[in-house]
Parts: sequence; C-alpha cells; structure tokens
Amino acid sequence: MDSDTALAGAYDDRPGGSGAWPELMPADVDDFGLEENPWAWADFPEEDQTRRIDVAGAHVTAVLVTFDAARWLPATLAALAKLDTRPTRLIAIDNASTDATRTLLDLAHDEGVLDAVYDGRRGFGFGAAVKAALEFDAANLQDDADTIGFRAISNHDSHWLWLLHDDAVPAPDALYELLAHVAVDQSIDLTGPKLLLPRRRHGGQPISEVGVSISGTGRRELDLDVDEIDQGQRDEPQERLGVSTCGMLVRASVWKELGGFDPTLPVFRDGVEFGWRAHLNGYRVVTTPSAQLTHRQVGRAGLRPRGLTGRRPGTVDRLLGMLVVAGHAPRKRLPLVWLRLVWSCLVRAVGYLVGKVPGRALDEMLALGSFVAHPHRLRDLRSRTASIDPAPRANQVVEALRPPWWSGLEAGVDALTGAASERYRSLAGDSDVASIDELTGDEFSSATEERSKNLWLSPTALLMAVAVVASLIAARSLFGAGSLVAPALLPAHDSVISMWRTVVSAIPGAPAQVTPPWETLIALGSTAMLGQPEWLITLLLCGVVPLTLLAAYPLARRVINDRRVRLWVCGTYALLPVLLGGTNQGRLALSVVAICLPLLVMAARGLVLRRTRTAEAWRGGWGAGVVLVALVAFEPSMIIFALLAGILGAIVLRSSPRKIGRIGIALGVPLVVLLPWWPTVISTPGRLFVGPDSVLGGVSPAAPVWQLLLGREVGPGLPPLWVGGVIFGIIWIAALVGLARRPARRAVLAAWAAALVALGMAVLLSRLVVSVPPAGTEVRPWVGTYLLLAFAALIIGGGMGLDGFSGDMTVRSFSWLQPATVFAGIAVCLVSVGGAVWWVLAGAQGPIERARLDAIPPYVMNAIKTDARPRLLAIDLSDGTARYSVLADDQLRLGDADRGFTFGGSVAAREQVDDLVIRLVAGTADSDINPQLTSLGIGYVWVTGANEDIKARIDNTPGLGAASGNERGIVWKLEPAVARTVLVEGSELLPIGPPPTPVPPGAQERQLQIGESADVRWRAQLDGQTLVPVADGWQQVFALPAPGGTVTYELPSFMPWLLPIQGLVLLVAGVLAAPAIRRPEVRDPAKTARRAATLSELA
Amino acid sequence: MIDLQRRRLTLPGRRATTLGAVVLVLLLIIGVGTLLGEEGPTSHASRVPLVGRTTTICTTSAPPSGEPAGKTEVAAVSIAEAPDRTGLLSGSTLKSKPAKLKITQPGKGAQQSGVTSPVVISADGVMASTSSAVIVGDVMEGPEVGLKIAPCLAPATSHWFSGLGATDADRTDLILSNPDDAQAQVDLRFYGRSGRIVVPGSPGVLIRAHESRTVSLSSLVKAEGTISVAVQASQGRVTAVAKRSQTNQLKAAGVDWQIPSAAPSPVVVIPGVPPGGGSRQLVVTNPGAARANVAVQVLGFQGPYEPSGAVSLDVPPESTATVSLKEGLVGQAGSIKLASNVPVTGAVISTSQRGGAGVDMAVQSATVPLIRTGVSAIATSNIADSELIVSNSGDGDVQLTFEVFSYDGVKLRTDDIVLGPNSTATRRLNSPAPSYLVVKVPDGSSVIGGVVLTQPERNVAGLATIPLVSPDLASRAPATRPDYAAGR
Repeated sequence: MDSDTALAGAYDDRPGGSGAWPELMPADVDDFGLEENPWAWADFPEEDQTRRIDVAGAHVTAVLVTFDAARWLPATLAALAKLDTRPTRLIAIDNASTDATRTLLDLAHDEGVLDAVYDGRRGFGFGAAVKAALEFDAANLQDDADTIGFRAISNHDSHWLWLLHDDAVPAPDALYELLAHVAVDQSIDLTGPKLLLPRRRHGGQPISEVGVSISGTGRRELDLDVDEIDQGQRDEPQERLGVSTCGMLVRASVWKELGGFDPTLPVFRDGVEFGWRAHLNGYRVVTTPSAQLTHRQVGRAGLRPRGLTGRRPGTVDRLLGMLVVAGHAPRKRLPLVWLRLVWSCLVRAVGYLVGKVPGRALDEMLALGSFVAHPHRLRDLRSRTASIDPAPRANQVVEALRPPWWSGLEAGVDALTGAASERYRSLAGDSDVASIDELTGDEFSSATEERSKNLWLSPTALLMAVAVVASLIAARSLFGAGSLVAPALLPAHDSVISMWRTVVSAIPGAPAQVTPPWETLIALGSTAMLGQPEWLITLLLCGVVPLTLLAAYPLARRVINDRRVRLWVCGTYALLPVLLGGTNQGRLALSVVAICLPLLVMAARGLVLRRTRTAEAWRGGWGAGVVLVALVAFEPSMIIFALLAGILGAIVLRSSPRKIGRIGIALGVPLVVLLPWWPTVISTPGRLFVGPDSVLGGVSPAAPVWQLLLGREVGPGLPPLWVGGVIFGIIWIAALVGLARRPARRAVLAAWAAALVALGMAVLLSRLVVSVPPAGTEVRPWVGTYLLLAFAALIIGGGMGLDGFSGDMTVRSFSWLQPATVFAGIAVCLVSVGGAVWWVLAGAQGPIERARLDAIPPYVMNAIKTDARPRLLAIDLSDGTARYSVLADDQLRLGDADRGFTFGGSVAAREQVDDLVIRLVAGTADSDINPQLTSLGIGYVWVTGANEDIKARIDNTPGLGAASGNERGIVWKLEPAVARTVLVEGSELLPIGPPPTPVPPGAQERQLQIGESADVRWRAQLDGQTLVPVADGWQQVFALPAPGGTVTYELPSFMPWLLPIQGLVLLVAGVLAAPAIRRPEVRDPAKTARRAATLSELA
Repeated sequence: MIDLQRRRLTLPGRRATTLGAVVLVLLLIIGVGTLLGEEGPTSHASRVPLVGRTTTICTTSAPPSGEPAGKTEVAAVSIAEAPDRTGLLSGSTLKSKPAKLKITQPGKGAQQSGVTSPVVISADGVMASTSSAVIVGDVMEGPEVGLKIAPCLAPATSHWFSGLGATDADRTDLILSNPDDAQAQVDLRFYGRSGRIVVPGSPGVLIRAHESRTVSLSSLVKAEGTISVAVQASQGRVTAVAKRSQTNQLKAAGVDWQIPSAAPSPVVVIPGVPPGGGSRQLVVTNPGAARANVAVQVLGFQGPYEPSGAVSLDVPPESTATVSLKEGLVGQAGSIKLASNVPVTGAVISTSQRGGAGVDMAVQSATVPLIRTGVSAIATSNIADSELIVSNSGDGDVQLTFEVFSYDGVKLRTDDIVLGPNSTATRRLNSPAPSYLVVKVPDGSSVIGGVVLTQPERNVAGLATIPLVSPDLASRAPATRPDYAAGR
C-alpha cells in the first residue's frame, strides 16, 4: 500500500469495507476551524508500512475452494486481485457448483487472477478439495516444466500453502502479513489471520475468529466476547490450538507430513483438529492478527444448503466438535469422555428446550444421535490419531491451549449468575436502566423506580434481608435434629426414596383413588433439595415470609408505583401466612398458596396484557397453568376460583380468541396434569375443599364469622386477638380507603370482588363438614387459605387504590390533610411492623416443634421393621382422653393421612381399632381383644399418660404380655408374637415374611391373610398359580391350597406409568412457561451468521 | 363499571355506590354465615363398642371334709340394655366342662345350685357388657355356718385385700383361679399392723392353667391383728377371692367371701355398710412408702358426717390400721369415704348381732363408682331379706333409678332416688320370687351401693353384702379419638 494513501481511502480498502466510511468523514476538516485533524485518533499508524520485510523468498501456493459461491466470489476474487503480495501460485477448485461460480473462476483465470482452475466433486469436503487441487496442480505442472509449482518446492522449508474460502475477502496485505510473521519467527509452522465479520452499517467490524480451541464438550472456544468489535485489542500473536482453515498458512512440509485435514471432518473443526495434530507432532501454531480476512461464514449461516453443512449447520458443527474431542481422547479415558459428550448434549438440549429454542435442542439431539449411531467415524479418526507419536511435552502444550474441564460449568454459571443478577437488579429497583429483556419484551413495568446508588442498600434488598434474618430468629426453636411436626403436619420422610416409594404405591382398600399430587410435588421438591424432604418442609414453613416477599415484590412493582405503598403491600402480604397460623400449625398448603399466588397473578397478567403475536405471547397461559398445578395440588378448590376467573376472563376477552386460547391453556394444564387424581376428587367431592393431610384436623369447632373477618381460624399458634384484630382491621381500613379513592378502577374492583368471593367461601366452608378419601373421614375444612386469598386481595386492592395518594397530597394546598396522611401512613406501617415483631418474638414457637420421634422404645421400632412387620397401637391418655394412632413400618409420615394411614381405605379396621382402644382402657378384659389386635396386625400396645388404675385395667387384658417401658410410656407385647401376614391353618397362625416367601405344605386348604386392607386389585400367586381371593373381614385374604411353594402377592399401581407422563406434560408446560432465550446468537446462530454474511450485500 | 360510566356518575356518587355495595355484600356474608350454623359430624362419639367375650369366675371351694354340704348356688342375669343384639351367657368349670347355667335372652336370669367348685361365666355378644353373676353360700350348720355372697369376678393382674385374718380365730383362705390357657404366677405382699411382713414362699406362687389354688394365710403368716394382702400377677392373670371364717372359742362366728378392694387411691369409698348392731371395723391399708393421714367420713342419710371416735386415721407406711366405726355409725347403714394424702384402700368388716342367734360376718370392700348402670344379680331371695343401700360420694345431687326384675325378665318394681351430696339412701326390697336389681345412674356421677342380705329368722343372724357392679365396663373408658401425634 502506498504510504500516501488518504485516510478514507485506506479504510475503504480494509476488508469488508463498505465504502461508507468516507461519508462520515468531514468534507474538509478545515471548515471546523480546528488546528488539528479531529479524526487523527482514527488514523492508521503507518510506520510499519515503511519497514516491509522481504518475503519474496517464500514460495506460496494458494488454494481457493469454491462451491455455489456466485454471490460472494466476486468480492473474493477482487480482493485476491488486489493482494500486494501475490502467492507464487493461486489455484482454485470448484466442487461442482450449479450457479455461476465456475464461470467467475474461469473469468478470473482468464484475467490472470488465478493460475489454474480445477474441477472438484460435489461430495468433497474442504480438506479433500484442497488435496485434490494440489494433486491436479502437481499433475498439471508436470506437463508444464517451465512453471515453478508446488510439486517442485513441496519439501522445502520456505514453501507454504495458503488456504482460502470462497466467502473470504483478504485484506490486500493479508498474505504479506502472514509471510512476514513466519519470516520473522521462523519457528511458526502454522498460522492464521484475524478473521472479521462484514462491517455493520454505522458500526464497527466484529471479530469472527483469531485462533480457536475446543472444550471438553466440543464447544468452540474463541476467547472472544459476543460481537466483540475489532479495535486492535487482539492484535498480539498468540499460540493457539488451531486456526481456521480460512486463510490458514501452513508450511508445505507440515501439510504433507500430517496428510492434510482429516477426512472425517469435511467442513467444520478441521482447522482445530489439524492444529491439534500439528502440536502433537511438535509444530507451532501461532495466530497472525495483523493479517486480516473478512469471512462471511456462509457455511455456518446455512447459505449453502446443497453443501455438506446442509440445512442444519449447527448439527454438523456439534457432531464434528464431539468427534474431534473423542477422537483425540486417550484410550483409557475414552469411555468417560464419551459419556461426558453425551451428557453435555442432553444438558444442552434440555437447556435449549427450557429456553424455548427447540431448533438448537434438535441440533443437539441430532448430533448426539449421529454420534452414537455412527461409531465408525470416531473409529476412523482415532485410528489416524493413534498413529501419532506425540513429541516431548506436546500433550502438555495441547492441554495448556485447551480450556480447563470446568469451562462448560463456568459458562453455565456465568449465564445463570447473569440472569440472577439481572433479576436481582430488577427486584432491587434498578429499573431506570431498562434491560434488554424489558426492551425486547412487551410487558413494561408501570413503575418508574428510583435508582439506588447501591443496590444492596435499596429498601427492597434491606426488606428482604430483614425478612430472612427475622425468619431465622422466629424459627430459632425449630433448628436442630429431628422432624418438624405440628397439628397439621406429619413428620417428613427420612429419605426422598421412601417418599417416592409412597407416591408410586397404590392405596390399599381404595381402588378408585391415587396418591394425591401434592405428595408428588413434595417428592419432586425434595429431590431438588438434595433428596432431603425435611429441608424442603423446613424451608416452606420457616422461610415462608421471605419466599412470599420474593414472590410478591415483582407483582407489586408492576401494579403499584409508590415504593412506600409497595413495601407495605409486600411486607404485610408476606406476614399473612404467619398471622393466619400457617407456620405454627404446619400448613404446607398456606405456604404454597402464599408463594404461588403472586406468581399466578403475574402469569395471568401476562396472559391478558402480552400482545398476541409476540414470541413469548403464550408464556402467560403456560405459566398460569404450571402455577395452578401446584396450587390445585395443595388446595384443590383453587380450580374453582380459576374456572370462575377463566370464564369471566373469556367473556371479557371474547374479542381476542388467542387470549381465550391462553386461558384455555392455563386451565387445561392442571386439568391434564392432575387427570389421574380427578376421579378421586369427583368420587369424594369433599376433597376439593381441603388441603394436604386434612384428616389430621378432624371436625374442629367452627370459628365465629366475626373472627373470620379478623383472620382468625380455629386453631393454635394464632397471634393474640388484639394483635390480629389491629393488623387485619388496618387491612380492612386500607382496602376501604383505597376503594373509596379509586371506586372505578377495574383492578381495585377486581381485587375487592376476589376478596369477597374468598371471604364468602371461607365463611361457607367453615360451617361445613366434608368427607375426605380414602376412608370417608369427616373433617371440617380449614379455611385459612381462603382468608389468605381474601386478605391478599384486600391488601393489593388497597395498595392500588392508595397508590399515588401521597403524590396527590403534595400538589394540594397545605391543610390538615397532609399531616393526617403522614401520621396515618406511619400508623399503618407501625401496625405491620408490630405484626412482624410478634412473629419474631413469639412466632414459630408452637405448637410446631422439632420432634425426635423417640417416644417408642428403639427395640419396639426395630421389631416393627422386621419381616413380621407388626403394627403398634399407641395410646396417649395424658389429657384425660384416649388419643390413639396405629404406627407401622416407619412411624406416620407426611402424606400418610391422605393415604388412610396403615389401614388405607378400610373403614372397618379403623372402627375396630377405636373399639379396641375403648375396651383396652376401659379394662373390659374381654378375650376377643387379643385375637382382634392380632387380626389387625397389631403386635404392640404402647400407652403413655395412664394412671395406675388404667395401667391395671390394660394389664388385665388376656393375651397381653408383661408390661415394660420407660418414663415416656409402657409397652405391652401381644402373646404369641404377631406378624402382619400370616398363614391360617385351622386355629394356627404361621407368620409369613415379605413376598416372595416360601410356605410349607399343609394338610388342607389354608388361607393367606396379608394384613392389608381388602382390595380387588390385590394379586397373589403360589408358584405362578393365581390364588383366589376370599372375602373375610377388613383384610385381604386368599385361599391357599395345601401344597407348599413360593407365595408372591402385590397391589399393582399404575402410578409408575402415569407419573412420567404427568411429569412430561408438566415439563413441557414448564418449558413453555419459562423465559425464552433472547440472545439471537444463541437462539439461532445460523440466522445471526446469515445476517452477518449478507450485511455488505445489503449495504 | 360500564353502567356507572354510562350513567355518568360523579366520583362521590361512584364512591358511595361502590362502598355501599361492598358493605352490603359483607353484611350478607356475615348474615348467611351466622344463619347457616355449624354442621357437626355424623358419626357419634358415644358409639357403643362391640365388647368381645368376657369371663368372670364365681369362686367357691369344696366344704370342709366331714362337714355337711351347704347350699351354694350361682345366679347370673343379663340386663336388657340392647334388645336388638344377641348374645350368650354360659357357665362352665375351670376345666371348660359345660355347666347348666345358660342365658340366651337379655333381661333374663338363671341359677345353678349345688356348686362345689369355681364356675366360669362366659358372656358373648350383648351379654358381655350386660351380665352379672353372684355366688351365694348359705350354710346352716357346721364350722362355716352363715351367709356368704360374692359377685363373680373377672381375672386381673392386681388385687388388694384389706383386713384379712391370719390367726386361728380368724382364718382366711385365699383362692386364686386361673381361667386362661397359660399358667399364672403371682406375688403376695403382706401389710401388717407395723409394716410389711416378709413371708417366705409368697413370691412366685404358680397357678396352673384352668386351675384354682388356695393359700391359707393362717398357715403362711403369723401376725397379730388384721393384715392386708396385695396379689400381683407377674405372669398371666387370676381371680382372687378370700374366704373368711371366724370363730369365737372354737365356735363358728361368721363366714363370708371377701372380694378385692378397689386399687389404692387418695379417695376411696366403701359402700353398703349394713345397719344394725354388731361390730363395724374399718380397715385401711397404706401400701405406699409415706405415712397416710386418712380422714374418715360416713355418708349418712342426712349427708356426710365424721364418725365419733374414728374421725381420722394415721396409717404408717406399708401398713394396715383398724378402727371401730360402731360408735360412729350408731347402727345406721351408710358408706364410708376415705380421703387420704397418699393412696390407700380399705374395707369394713361387719358382724351381725341378734339376740339368741349366732353371729355372722360380712365384708364390704372399697369399690369404684358405678358407670351408667349398676347390677346386683340378687335383689331378693327366699333365703334372706334385702335392703338396697346407695350412696353418692360426689359433691352434687344425683337422681338415680332402680328397677327390680324377676329372673323371667318381668319388671317388679321401679323407683327413683334423689341423693344429696355425700349422702346415702336405703330401700327395702321385697319380692316373692328371686329377682335382680338394676340401678341407673347419670354419667359422671359417683354413686356406689350394695344390697345387704340379712337372715332374721335363722339360728345364725346371716349377713352379707353384694356390691353393685357395672357390667358395661366399656362405658368407663375416656373419650377416644384418633390422634396421629400419639407415639411420636
């Protein structure tokens, strides 16, 4: 280049230059009256232009490979024509293009730009084409002895091979820079230029690639930021694992020794693989950033559909990346590497699905399928890499040039922390700076948030921190070993395996009923909590306030502008679960509803407000559906509210069928996911109105109506009446004032309507007694959830009504109203703070507690877990009444109440136990007690709180052994010892172990009593012969023939088949509800590449 | 909303309309909720449990050899509590040999005479909670002359006897019967005037299955005065009855079956102390390790009073104390209420007195209050005169009903009695045929009682007391309810 080249002209000559630069330049800088050229900073340094290195001694053969490139080839050929340092020989090979490519090449040949043009085949990959071109050219040169060609110089160190793509435009000095670099540093054997993407209009030129590496999962490692603009920051030559084949300059001897590119990698990753092999053979691979090429990457853009990249270049790239990694893996580590690659594909596929990029997920799965289905490719590649005898320290060099093994995790963590950070910033109020999501989304916050200087010190963050600390203090007595127990909470399972086992098993004695879905969700959550159900329960009950706050704030941000009102709304709402006794009574449903309710409202809001044709238009429907699954599982009556709201919404939105469709999705998801459970609910409608393990509550007295209006349900653990009265009274007042201020605002009226409907439901249900499955036990519905709904609606309605009130006051002339408003606001806040103080000081201290479950002596618990599996009748007489339960296997655990405890759906067994308890403590001492206890499989009677008189009465019962025990209680063991499953032959009972179990031959036909509730689904076999069921009392009995054999019996359950289907539907719904990946280069890299590839065309 | 806008309501108008509507709906909710009332459970908490087969033993022993056999009979009844339910009451020997005694219909009674060995009464179905039986021994001459009656008792693991004799003049045979299929083993503990009496051989007394064993205290224990015995089964269960026989200068001075007293408690009541002359010895047993200060109260016709000379009793630890109530009772019937600082139990040993006639004895043991129904299988008999004595040891008035039925189920008499707090009432019972008595008391009351049988025309002034017993023991159970926190 001439040293006198004008600035604009110089830039015009840069690769990819669109010629737009001169338009931006001032016509005459002198017009501005400046002493110096203001654009001097943009001037190119020209010192190095003056000290050109002599590269004339280098003999370069350049090979241009073309295929259907008529759109881009002219620019490439023009650039080649302008090279200031021409290769010794410039040849081209065309892989059977069907467009004008061949014509263009021939023209270039005719004009002297190309020295030769050869015909390749359509199936040629890049490496094969280069190889063929060189062979053709060698043959050609043999015929022309006067031409100095590649063949004659191929084994000399100064002979080089330069590879060119048909969509690449080299800078005029590109070859010179490459040759100059290898001339200065003669240890370089392989180098590549800085590849740039075409220049954007009014923008910089992004770097495409400056050397490349590959991660352990086959990911391209470019060490570049997304859309990183070239500002010279990558201009230091660096040793890299490989370089792109586009513009690659390779020593001819190295090319020959390594045998060119691997034929297994015809399009992508061939450069990095070649570099890898070069390193292993002791050669150096260094980038030459001073040499620049603009690379359109039409292959990655999918603009060559007839080519080897096909229409899914992403699939091919992923597959070839995996092949490279697996192909170079040490033999011993290959299985692990293979598994890691498969796993990474699956994880990425799931990630893309969650991000709603099914195309990328499909790429991953197609690549995985091809990788697994065609092992010969890997075998071929490995057979070639196996022959390499690595040079000394070559492996260490390769290792150093590859990213560490955790780079994938690092990338994932970066993505997640980025998302979390964005979420936090949004939550903490940093919304003046609109996020990309917000700008690209169609759901804008109505709030204009004051931007805090320090987000960690924003009121929202501080409120959240206070809530967390307060929760820890309030739950101070609940930390430690043992299980959380409360009047409405049974202890959690010891392990998630036990929980899942319960979920999938059938309920004996209740053929039409299945395990309620809330147990499945708890099991699912426990699995996510590292398999610890207790942690999940503790989090739900002890962390309900901060979790509720976290869920409520985003909603409040969207509907309330005034931050003070918003904080009051969120804080007061977050306190509702504890003020309603949820934590102290162990009400899991209340926690779930409190957390999910704001999410549901937000999803519903999105459902209504999002424009119908946006990418995420249906998210609201799916999101509402997913949240409803959780809500309905824990509080089934929510489906009534949802249906009512859905019908009303459909009427209001009747002009927008797509929105009605979203409502249909929202209602359809819970109906479909919970489909196996609906027969249970329909057959026992009472279940619709009660939550988890509702049997524990029994038929408690109903609270007076006026107390319900003050948020007081019946039960322990409530705040003092005056505390509740003041707080809930303030909520009423605030809601009424809000309504009075905004009597026509639809949102306020809707909130009031919801509150009144919920309150009506609470009052109505609190008067009723309903039967719940599986045994039709009568309970009075606990209406705390409806009260939560009602007061939540009042709070949000009041908040919306009062929003902007302080602003109104500031514009009014000063009167008594302003100070009164200030005092009222302070008073309202103080009341809520007072509620929080009560909760912190006396909150989670009872009746919820952490129990060690050690009342029963260990030897008895061990006996219960033996093969005989006897049950234990526990009677507590400490308060003057006889309270009892029957324990089996592993105490009573979460969800057992909804499964009918140990007797499943048998009402007869339940009543008999009640009878037996009466007779035992009354001391009737009748001789049927022992046989009846034995028939129920009860082998132990444990009594606590009994006085000497009652002890003596129980002691008088025939068939009870000598009493023993400790200060906690007394145990009687039945004599003879009881087994749950027995073989009955005449009057003799032979204990039988768990199936399959051998049984001895008998003299006559016998009966197999399995000790579980009778159910038509029970199946039993003796050596494969089906046994005939016999109707006999509460338990399942089979007639057993005289011959001995192996007995098996089981209660089939279809839950193991249904759960995966339900899970799949929920997963799909969850994926569709999740926020989509919005970054275009991740969503559709081919499209991004296509846009980049066609930029200069458009320009 | 749309309507409001159409009507172009002003803001105050909208405000008033909306607030009014809200208040109206709220009032509607409150009103409907209040009017609806509270639904209760359909299941009844007071459901009667289905009691299984109960077993009681009517204990007797063979008459002394060479002595003429007396008239010993067993009378069993089943009250008509649940006519729609069926059941069967039958008698057998300890060896399960069937006896003649059988009742198939509720409300009926049956007798078996000539009994010389214990009879096991088995009650199935409705009979299990409605039946009662007594054994009556009426001996007119010989060393065991006199009237002795005892209710048939259920086997148990613990029995308390107060005031037993262990001397030549006051003999006691403790009869232990085991109706079960496994052997029983019992320990006997003796409480004398000055504390525990250590008796070699008293622990580990074996009673084989379906057998009866008699322990003669006078040959086992040497102690002055009355003693108390605790029978504690360490294995199995037994029924225990003490056969008392007193002599005066080698002349028979009374016999009776003494049944166990109620388990020691801070408050115990001894019902059915007969009227008339003769001695009335109150025996109090303190099995605890602390000294007992016992306040004695007579539940009289006019209310409670402190008996002269026996206002209080100081019982050393693990001891038995005796005090005479004769002066305090002044010949009146009544019940004795003992209130102590530590658990005690007791009994009253009464003797008859009639000019020219021999003396008989009767023991009234402490009992527990009746539960809904009290039954005496003998109300009237052709061998003696009867008198019902009922007492209310509670602090409130009690109205009770008593009915007398013939053994054929015919109601012979019905009457109501109102009892003031801590008071006693008596009614003479007259009937030509053997009959039984049913007393119905309110739930939660503290009524105790008994039927006193006297033989005014015999050479021996026969005297016996049958305590009222509640066959429906299940009714004394506290309220039950499932509680899944039990056993944590």
